[in-house]
Amino acid sequence: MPLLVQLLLVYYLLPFVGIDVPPLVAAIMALALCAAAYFAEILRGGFLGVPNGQLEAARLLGFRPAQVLWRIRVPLALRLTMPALVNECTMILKASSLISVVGVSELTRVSQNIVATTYRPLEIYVAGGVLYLVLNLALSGLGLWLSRRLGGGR
Amino acid sequence: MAMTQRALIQLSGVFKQFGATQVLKGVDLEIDQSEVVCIVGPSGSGKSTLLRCMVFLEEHDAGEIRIDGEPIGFVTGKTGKRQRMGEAGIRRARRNVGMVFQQFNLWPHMTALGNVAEALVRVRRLPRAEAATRAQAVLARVGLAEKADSYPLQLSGGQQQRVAIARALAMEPEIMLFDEPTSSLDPELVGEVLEVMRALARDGMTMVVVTHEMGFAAQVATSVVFVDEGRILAKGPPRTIFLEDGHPRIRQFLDNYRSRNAFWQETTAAG
Amino acid sequence: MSFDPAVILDRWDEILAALGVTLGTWIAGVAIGLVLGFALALMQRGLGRAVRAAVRIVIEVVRGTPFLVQLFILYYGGPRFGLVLDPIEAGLLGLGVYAGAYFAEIFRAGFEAVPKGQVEAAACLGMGRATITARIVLPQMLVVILPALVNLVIILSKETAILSIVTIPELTFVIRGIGAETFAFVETTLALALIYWGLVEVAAGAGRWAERRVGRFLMPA
Repeated sequence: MPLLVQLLLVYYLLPFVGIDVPPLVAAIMALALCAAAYFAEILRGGFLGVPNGQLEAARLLGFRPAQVLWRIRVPLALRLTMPALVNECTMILKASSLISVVGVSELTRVSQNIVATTYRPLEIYVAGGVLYLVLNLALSGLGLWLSRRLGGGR
Repeated sequence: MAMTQRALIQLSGVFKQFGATQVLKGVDLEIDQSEVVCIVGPSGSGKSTLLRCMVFLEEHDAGEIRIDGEPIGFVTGKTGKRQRMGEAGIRRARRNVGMVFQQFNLWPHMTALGNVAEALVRVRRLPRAEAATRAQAVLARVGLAEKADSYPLQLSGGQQQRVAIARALAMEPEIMLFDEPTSSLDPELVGEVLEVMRALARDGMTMVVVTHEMGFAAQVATSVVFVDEGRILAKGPPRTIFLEDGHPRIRQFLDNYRSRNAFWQETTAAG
Repeated sequence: MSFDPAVILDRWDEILAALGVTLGTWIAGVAIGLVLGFALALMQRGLGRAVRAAVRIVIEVVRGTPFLVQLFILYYGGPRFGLVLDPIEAGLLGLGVYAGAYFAEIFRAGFEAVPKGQVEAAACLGMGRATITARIVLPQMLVVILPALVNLVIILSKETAILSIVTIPELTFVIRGIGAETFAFVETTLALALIYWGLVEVAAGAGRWAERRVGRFLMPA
C-alpha cells in the first residue's frame, strides 16, 4: 500500500492501542517498516544469486555452515545487491518528504513554511528539490565508492 | 578463363583505431568479381575489423573504401573535406553485400522462414507470399527446406548458421562476407556450413571469408590474404602462401598451425 | 476509544467517487508516462550527444527528487512562469512526467537487452532504423521488460495517494477528509489501507496474468 497510508496508519494506530510517540518516531517507524520490506526482497534475491558452486567449494573445504554463511554468502550477496541497496536508500530519502504530512519538520515541511511567509513557491521548492538531488547524488557516489572498495564482486 | 576483372571492393589506405590501439594500419586491398578471398592470420591481427569496415559496421578513421566503385561511409566533398554519409547512403552502398556473422545473429522471435523473408518484405518490399516462396527456395539451397517453420532455438548451430547464410543470400548480393562463420560451432557441425560455402563458391559467388579453417582456404580460395598486426603481409593464391617460403611471420603462423594438426596424425599413426 | 465502522459505510458513495478519481489519474498517469518514457528512450538512442545529455539530466532530476516536491513546483510554482493549473491538471502532469522518467529507464534497459549483433545483421540486410526497432528490437524487448513495467505501474498506483496533498479529490484526500470531519481517524485510515491493499492485489494479479500470456505467445521453444 502507499507509504503515505502506512505513515498515517502508524501515526493513528499507535495512540489507539495506547502507545504515545512523537510524530517523528512514528514516521521513522513507518519508513523503517517500508524499507525493511524492500531490503528483505533485495537481500533475498542477493542470497539466491550467490553461485552455488562457490558455496559447495566452501563446504568441501571444510567450512562450517555458519562460516559459509557469514564469510562467503553475506559478502557476496552484498556485493551483488549493492546497486539495488543504494537505489533503495535513495528511494527512502525521497519518501521522507512524505512525513511532512504528519507534521514532522523536515525539508519539505520547512519549505512549505518558508513559502507561506515569503510567497515565492517556485524558488523555494526548486531549492528544496536541488537539496534532495544533491543528497541523492552523494548517496549514489557513496554506493559507487563502496562497490569499488569491496572489490567488485565477481 | 577470361573473367571480368571488375573490382567489387576496394580498400585504400584504411586506418582504424579503437581507443589507443591502432588496429588497422594502412590497408590496401582489392576484391575482384568471382574471387574467393580467405583472410587468415593470428587472433587480434585485425581480420574481423577489416571485414567489418568493408560494410561500415566499423567506421574507418582514414582511407577510402569503395563497393562497386561507390564509396561507403565517408565521401570527400567538393571542398576536399571528409564527410560522413547519411543512413540512406550507407544502406544503398550495402545493398549488394551480404554478411554472415560468427554468432549467426538470427532473430529468435521469427522462424527460419521468417528470418530469411523479413528483409525481402521490409527492404525489397515484396508481398509476403512472394517473399515466403523465395525464402523457401533459398532455404532449400542450403539444405534446410524442411526446417522453414522451426525457430532458431530449435536448430543446431550448424543449421542456424546455414539459415543465416540463406538470409543473406535471399537478397541476391553480388558479394558475400563471412566473419569466422564456423568459429562458434562444434567441430562436427563445421562441415555442413563449409559445404554450403563451397557450393556458393562453385556457383561463382564473390566471397570474402575471415577464417581459421586452413583446409577450406587451401581448397576453395582463389586468393589468401595474410593479416598480421593491422597490415596485409601477403596476398596470393593458396599454393603460394601456404607452400612457398614467405614472410617469417607467415611461416611462424603456418608452422604453429601445422604442428598442432600434425599432432593428430602422429598420435593416430603411433597408436 | 471506540471503533465505529459505520462512519465509512455511511459515506460509501463519496468514497466510490474518490476511487474513480484515483483510478482515473492512475491510468492517465500511466498512459502519459508510457508515451513520454518511450519518446525519451528513443531520443537517447539517436539524435546526437547534446540531446542525449539533456534527456539524461531531465531523467536523473525527476528520478532524484521526491514526487511531492515536483507536484509543489508544478502546482504552486507554476504560476511564476505562466503555468496556471488546477489541481487535477497539475496532478496529471506531475504523475505523467514522474512516470515518464521511470518508464524511460525501463525502455532504455530493454533496448540494451537486445543483442547488438541482431541489429547489425538487420542493418547489413538494408533495413532502416525504424524498421529494425519495430520488427527486431521491440518484440523481444517487450517480453523482457514486462515485469519491470508491471512493477512500475503498481508503484504508480501507490504514488497517486500523494496527489491528495495538492487537494485532488482522490481516495486519500476524501477519506482523510471524512476522518477529520468525524474524528474517526483510526477507522478511516484502516479503511484506506484496506482499499489500497485490495487495489494493489488486483493490479498485481492482472500483471501476473499479462506476463504469462505474453511469455507463452512471443517466445516459443
